[in-house]
Amino acid sequence: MNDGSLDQRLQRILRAVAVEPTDRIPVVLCAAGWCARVAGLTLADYCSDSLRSAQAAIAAFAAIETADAMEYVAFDPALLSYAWMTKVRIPGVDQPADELWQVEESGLMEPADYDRIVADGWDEFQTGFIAERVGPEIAERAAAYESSVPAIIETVRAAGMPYLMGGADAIMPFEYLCGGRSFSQFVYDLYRIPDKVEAAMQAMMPQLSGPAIEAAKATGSPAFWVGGWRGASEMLARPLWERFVFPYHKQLVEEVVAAGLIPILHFDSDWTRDLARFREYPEKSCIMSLDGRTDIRKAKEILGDHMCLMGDVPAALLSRGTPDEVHDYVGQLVADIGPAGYIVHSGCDIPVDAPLDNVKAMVAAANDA
Amino acid sequence: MDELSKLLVEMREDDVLAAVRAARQAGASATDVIGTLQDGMRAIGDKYSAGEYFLSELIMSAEIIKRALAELGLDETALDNAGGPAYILGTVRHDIHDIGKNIVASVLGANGFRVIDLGVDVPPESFVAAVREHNAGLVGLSCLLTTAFDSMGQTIEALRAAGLRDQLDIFVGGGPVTSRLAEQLGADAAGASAQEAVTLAERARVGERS
Repeated sequence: MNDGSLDQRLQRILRAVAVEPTDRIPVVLCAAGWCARVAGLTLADYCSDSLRSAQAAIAAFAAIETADAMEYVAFDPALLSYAWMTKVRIPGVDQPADELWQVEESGLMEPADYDRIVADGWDEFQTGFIAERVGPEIAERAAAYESSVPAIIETVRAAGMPYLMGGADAIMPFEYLCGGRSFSQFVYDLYRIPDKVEAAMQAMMPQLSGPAIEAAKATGSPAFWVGGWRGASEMLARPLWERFVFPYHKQLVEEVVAAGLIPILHFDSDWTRDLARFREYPEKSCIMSLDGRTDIRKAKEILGDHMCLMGDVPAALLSRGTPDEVHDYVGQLVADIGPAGYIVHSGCDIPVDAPLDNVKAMVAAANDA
Repeated sequence: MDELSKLLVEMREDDVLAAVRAARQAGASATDVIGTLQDGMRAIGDKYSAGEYFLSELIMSAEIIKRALAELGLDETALDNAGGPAYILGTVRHDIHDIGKNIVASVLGANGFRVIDLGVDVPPESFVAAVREHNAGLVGLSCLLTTAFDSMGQTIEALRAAGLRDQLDIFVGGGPVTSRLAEQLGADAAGASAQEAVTLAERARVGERS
């Protein structure tokens, strides 16, 4: 891999972000547990040391050969606890060694926490919350991951693997609070105590992006996740979405762009209803990453001249389809969404049980187009 | 009474509860109040199907119904559920995700189905036992992980091996679940949303196969 093509691959991606033609359709791989399988590790081994997770990513990228970048370079399940504000079951610790980690959404946050966030600020609240309600072992894992990042980046660079994100991201207030309360309880809060929720969200914003942007720059990352999952359009009445999701997400995206990074709008679930709103985002500066639920062809129609689209090979197809079916699906995507402003990608992570040949077929379809 | 239904459709929780209290004080029977609330739920379901309402309204309205029933000294079993068709629901083995399943359970319950929620990480034999115990005709299998697809297939096979398949409509659902997968697994249909789960179940109830 370390053959001088690194710059060429990243340049290909940057041209797609700028909605300019490329010599071939770029491909970005997004995977965690799947890398473990390719590298021959149990999921417990993969999770035992974040440097091992980076080595697995390098092995998986090498097995594919003609992808242009790994989206992220390493992983620890503790990061999910911080993102979801809840416990996560870890392979080899809380569940069998080769069963995938799973978020245990149990509503650990209480209504009184909105006032606490306002009073204490987000960083202090989250630190205490993780230690007291999720578990100190999660804080230890997260600290170990953070301290490993320099060694991870050094390893990845030595291997010549192109990457988009070295480890940091920004999550909008909606996702943290929804995960912490659990979805149903949070919906009740949006109807019953909307002003309290809004006050907490506004108190959170100043601490959500700054340090993460600096961390991203320190790892040489060109891109930065500003995702959304429970804040998807299909989940929420439009008035709720307009009040509690869009303004915060937009502000984070603008901060990331102003810092010279490319926001990856990692959008799980269906955002079709509100696609037109994303024309308000900085032009030709973002990547919208879709998981198969949003109508990607509608996204092309509405946003194709404004924003790079990435996606959306469905998990079920990668897991259960044949290589020919995957190749055909991607070929059709390239025809409909490309050629400019499009990156081939799985819908969210490549599933852990996706056969290597299916992922190769996904990449080959982009290479062949 | 029409006003009560309208207040529910508008998600005006406090006004719904006040209207329920007022209706009872005016001599309305619990049955009439429940009937009006169910009219409201159906209107909400129609709006969801039409793309006017979203998951938040389904969730909030189910919660308002629950509180309205509590005002009447009742719970969800009052929604014809005791006589309603039994629906066995669970997240399959090796998967612990439950939010989607819980929302489906809540919405099915609010629409008159007698939901027997087996929880998460449910082995095939538990589905078989529940179908037998409740003489159920409807089964819903949920998962969020592709690695749980095998568990869905094993559950359907276990129901077939137990001689129960012919009496059942089996639906699958969850983030990565597709109609193609439903076909591959031998299920009757995939439900892409909580409301679609209701639509599929109601069609099965009146004898239309999926």
